[in-house]
Amino acid sequence: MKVRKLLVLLLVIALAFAVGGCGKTDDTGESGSNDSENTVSEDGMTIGFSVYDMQYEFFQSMEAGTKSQVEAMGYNYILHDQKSDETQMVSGAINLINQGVDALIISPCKPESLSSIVDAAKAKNVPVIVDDIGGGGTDYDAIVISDCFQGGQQAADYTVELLAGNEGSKKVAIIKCEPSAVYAIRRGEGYKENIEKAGFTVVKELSGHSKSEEGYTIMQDLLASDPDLVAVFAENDPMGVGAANALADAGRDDIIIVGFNGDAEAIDAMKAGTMQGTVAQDPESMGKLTVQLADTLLTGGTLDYDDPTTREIFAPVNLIKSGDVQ
Amino acid sequence: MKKFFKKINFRELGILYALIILWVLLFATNRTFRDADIYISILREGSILGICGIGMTFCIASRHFDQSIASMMALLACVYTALLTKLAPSAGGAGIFISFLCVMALSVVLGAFNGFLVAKLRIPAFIATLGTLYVYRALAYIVSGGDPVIINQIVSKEQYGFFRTIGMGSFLGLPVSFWIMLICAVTGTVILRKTKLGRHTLAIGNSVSASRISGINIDRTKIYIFTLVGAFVGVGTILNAAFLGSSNPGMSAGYEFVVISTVVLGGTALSGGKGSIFTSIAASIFLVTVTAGMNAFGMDSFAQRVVQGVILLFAFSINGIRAAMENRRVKSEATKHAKATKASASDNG
Repeated sequence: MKVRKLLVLLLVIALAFAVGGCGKTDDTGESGSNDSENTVSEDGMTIGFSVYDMQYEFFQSMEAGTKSQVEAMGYNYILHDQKSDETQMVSGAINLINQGVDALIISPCKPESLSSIVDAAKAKNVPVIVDDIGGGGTDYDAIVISDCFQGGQQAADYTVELLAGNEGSKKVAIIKCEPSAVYAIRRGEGYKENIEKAGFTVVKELSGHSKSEEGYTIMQDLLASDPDLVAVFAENDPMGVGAANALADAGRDDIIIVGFNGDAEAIDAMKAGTMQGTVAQDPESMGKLTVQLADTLLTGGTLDYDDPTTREIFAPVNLIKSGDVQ
Repeated sequence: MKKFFKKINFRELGILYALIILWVLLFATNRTFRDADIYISILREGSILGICGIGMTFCIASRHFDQSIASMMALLACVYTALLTKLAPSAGGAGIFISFLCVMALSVVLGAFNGFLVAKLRIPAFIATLGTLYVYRALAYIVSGGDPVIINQIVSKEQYGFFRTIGMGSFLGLPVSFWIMLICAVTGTVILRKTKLGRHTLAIGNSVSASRISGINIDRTKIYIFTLVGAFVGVGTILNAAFLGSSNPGMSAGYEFVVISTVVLGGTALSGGKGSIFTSIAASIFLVTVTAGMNAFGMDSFAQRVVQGVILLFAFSINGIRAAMENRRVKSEATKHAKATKASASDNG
């Protein structure tokens, strides 16, 4: 009886590995070696990528970019999915290092738990490139993040362009993320710099804690305190969409709203005409960039940081205008 | 020695055989599994899961559930790092020790509170711990203010070395967490097999009314059981925080399900009355090995979720399968017996 139970269990596992193995063979088209499809092969170097969660479109694009660049540069590739779980993140990334990857790229689901991983990598002299999210104050080699400041500037320039010839007031407002979201805060700073250069004044900067419903209530408050606003910038799309809904509910269509992220809900709002623009991050080119950085380190080069103190390297962002989505 | 082996029921060790066979298979097929590092990494993660499973073994053997342990872990970790932030820089090593004691005390209180709800207020454990699941998680957010804490940033360099040793270090070639797990497992086994509390736990799992008639103080036993769950989760939390090097209020979400699954996979019957800490731990190492194996083969992450789901369904259906097979065995023996009697009857005739 026990034996039978055991057999069933083993069958399940054998099946599992068979499925996994087949999938891998299909992907790479290599079936020459029957010895462990996904371990580091003797020839050539390997880059491991530990991804946040493949359930999300953002990270699917990031993974696609990373994988294509790794293969284009002639490295072997190993993927690990953290599935948004910090234990999986730490043990999986450390196992990648145990498997002998030559460089580790990681988009951490919990940046605060990066220290164990970076320590393990440093002990084996494996360079670590962080892709987006945050570095958790660790000793990583580089972190790639979207150029938020420049994205904010693009949003401001676009707003000015839309408002050309407008006879209204020169008042604008910014709905900010929580103060701990250090990268998102730069979006507002970039926006503020360029919009003030163009002669506008930022009359209010309020925190909506990245939440849609707070974007809605803040917009209501803004309408009450400053009904003559001409434009609003939201540091992320959920708040931008919330603000756009508040405007629509109040029957106002004369205020320009630009968000940040390129979320599907923002694109929908732009199609409906309640929002005028959003700044999209480009996870695919971020993924490609991380591989180029890893390659530079593996071939003995040095990195050219955009901010040497935090070892940040910026990835370009794209402004999406309402005309682009119709 | 002979006596010791006689006591072990080899028929109950299915999960251990499965683990050994799985390791042999992986060793044979995957180069990663020919390096000691991967086994150490598996033992490290499996030990933390195993420690949390010790208390849960008591809980399930007594026919109860504790769904609150993941939230409990998050709350304890947040309290732990909050205390460390205050005490480690000012009081040094003593501060770390006090933080540790406070977390252990709190874990006992949180567990006992679950037990109080179940035993004294007569709330079914399933519902009571669902309630505390939300309460403990919310408290974690309140204590931490919603922010993660990185241990490396709140303690000195020498102190961080200590946390690194607990979380990632080894002693005699095996992870520190594995040795701590061994101590916990022996303690747990002694409680389960050698003490009144252990016998009462199994008795309640078998039949509450029979236990009541035989004079067992059921309320008190239930409170002790949930307190044990809390205490072992406390130890697990401290190891886990050192392993991750951080705390955050959203951590370990869904961990209760993993822990319950390992205990059931280890052969502790959901219907109660039976349990083994040794097999619970073997099961936790087994589950971690399966994940590591799937990663080593580069299995697609959606397929991984399917496999994990199938293993859990299998674990939860063990009882049903066992009952069905037992049924068939009894039936076939009955027919055999009937045939034999018939045959002997016709012989006589």
